[in-house]
Amino acid sequence: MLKAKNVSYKNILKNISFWANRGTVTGIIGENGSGKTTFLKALSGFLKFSGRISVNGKDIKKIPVNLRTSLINYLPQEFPQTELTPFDILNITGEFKKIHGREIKNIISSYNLTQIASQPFLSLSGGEKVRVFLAKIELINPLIVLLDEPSAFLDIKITNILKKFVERMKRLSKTVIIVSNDLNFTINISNHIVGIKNGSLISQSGTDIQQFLEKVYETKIKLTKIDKKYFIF
Amino acid sequence: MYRRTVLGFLVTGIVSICYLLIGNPSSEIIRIIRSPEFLLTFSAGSILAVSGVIFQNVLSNPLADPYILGISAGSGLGAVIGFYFGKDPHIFSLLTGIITVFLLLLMAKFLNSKLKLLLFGVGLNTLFSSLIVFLIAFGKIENFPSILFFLMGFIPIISLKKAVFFLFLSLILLFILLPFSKKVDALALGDSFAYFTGINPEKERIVLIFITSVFIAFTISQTGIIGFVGIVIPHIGRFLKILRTKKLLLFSFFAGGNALLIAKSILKFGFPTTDIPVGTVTALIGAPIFIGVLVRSKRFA
Ligand SMILES: Nc1ncnc2c1ncn2[C@@H]1O[C@H](COP(=O)(O)OP(=O)(O)OP(=O)(O)O)[C@@H](O)[C@H]1O
Ligand SMILES: [Mg+2]
Repeated sequence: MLKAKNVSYKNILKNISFWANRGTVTGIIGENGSGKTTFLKALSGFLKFSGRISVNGKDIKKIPVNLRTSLINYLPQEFPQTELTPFDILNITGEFKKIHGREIKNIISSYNLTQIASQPFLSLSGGEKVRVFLAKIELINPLIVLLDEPSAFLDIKITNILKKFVERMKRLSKTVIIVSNDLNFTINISNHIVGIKNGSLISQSGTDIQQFLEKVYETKIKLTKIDKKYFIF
Repeated sequence: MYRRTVLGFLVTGIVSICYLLIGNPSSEIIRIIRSPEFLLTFSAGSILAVSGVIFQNVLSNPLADPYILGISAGSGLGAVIGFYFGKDPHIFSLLTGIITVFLLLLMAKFLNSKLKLLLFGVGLNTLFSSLIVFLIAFGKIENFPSILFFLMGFIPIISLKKAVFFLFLSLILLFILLPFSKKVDALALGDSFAYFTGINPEKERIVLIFITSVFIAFTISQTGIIGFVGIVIPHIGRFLKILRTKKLLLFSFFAGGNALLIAKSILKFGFPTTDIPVGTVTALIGAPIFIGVLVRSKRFA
């Protein structure tokens, strides 16, 4: 379980308390610049926040950095500009975790990366980059998976790969947290949703989903439910 | 990788034999002049190039190297101060080099921008270089190379023992850095990537910059401020698609050493009667290559 208590960072995050259980998917939504990415980076221990974040009861600040990766990993919103290839990136990841070359080859083929495995990473399309980093997370196999705008670049086919990834993580009892402004995607895949507004957390409690969305985004939203799924127009 | 290392040794062998034997010198000259010259030149070139790899990768900045960031000039200033007071220039060079590094690391936290840090380094470089000029010009230091030589970088004639010591230095640096290769690879992909592969980016960066700066300071106290080797050689490696740090370190070790040797040879054998600092040649050849690599590279778009 991932728990945050009174987490603040500069003036970007304001006293956020939050928790997410194993085997669940939590969606975090909010306007551009509201602090979602910053919050994920704080949750992972990457930023020097004030307050307390714990994983299974252990204070993250007290966990050595080299052990944190197998607890929490992160799909970034912005990718490194590098001439290294997806193959290199996965190999570098694997070398730290003593993962064998065969396992890396398997991941590469299961994420359909064989064609692009030897191309410079910076020349890949947005969706291809997401796939490389999903493969990287799967290789590390952490307890908690943080995804920052994972569906932003994806076509229908790759979105399905992402959905399957999230479902698989859930089945494996991982804690999944998705930050996204792709509301159709987030609402339908998440067990519950929270919002961030100006660095403060807004919970859904008491309101229905439509009211909640309108509160987070301060705009009228048209929500329709078809086949147990929500659609926003 | 082994093939590349063998190739490196082969090229170094050929270049060194040429350097030692061109013009059929007496065995006396080979022993007292050419051998120490060859050893110091090769070591200085490889230390500079290897440091360039580390700086560029851990700061994920293609322009970073000890010269641009002012660490070389800082170390140089120390050497001049040492000479001025008749003290060991190596120790002073080490001191001011490390002070410069701390200044940079402090500013790195404060500025919070890699571009600003680079510009800060450029400022330091200019400041220290002019201090060096003042000290040399007004100090009237005995047995000291001219301002031009110290600022451009040169290869002094030293004892064979000292030259062998420098070769050891360059090898030690290489063997200290090789085990860090993975970490440097991760750092080159950015702090966030490094963190999520399991390393503490700030800590590793400080350790690596500190180690390389010590070796740079030692080199600079002997050769003055040789520029461009540290920037250009790693970029030539990357241009040749040598991207992983381990391979790039090995490449730069050999290529840096040989490049400086070739520059030195051009001067020594091409213009035997004129006395020009070797740094002039590295800049003369290095600058156009550097510009060429920049123009053709997609990375900085
Ligand atoms: N390193 C930083 N230093 C100072 N301010 C920052 C830093 N990083 C982000 N900010 C600011 O913090 C705020 C929140 O940024 P953040 O990236 O967390 O937003 P976000 O909710 O992820 O936005 P988006 O939906 O556009 O991805 C923004 O106003 C941004 O300008
Ligand atoms: Mg964001």
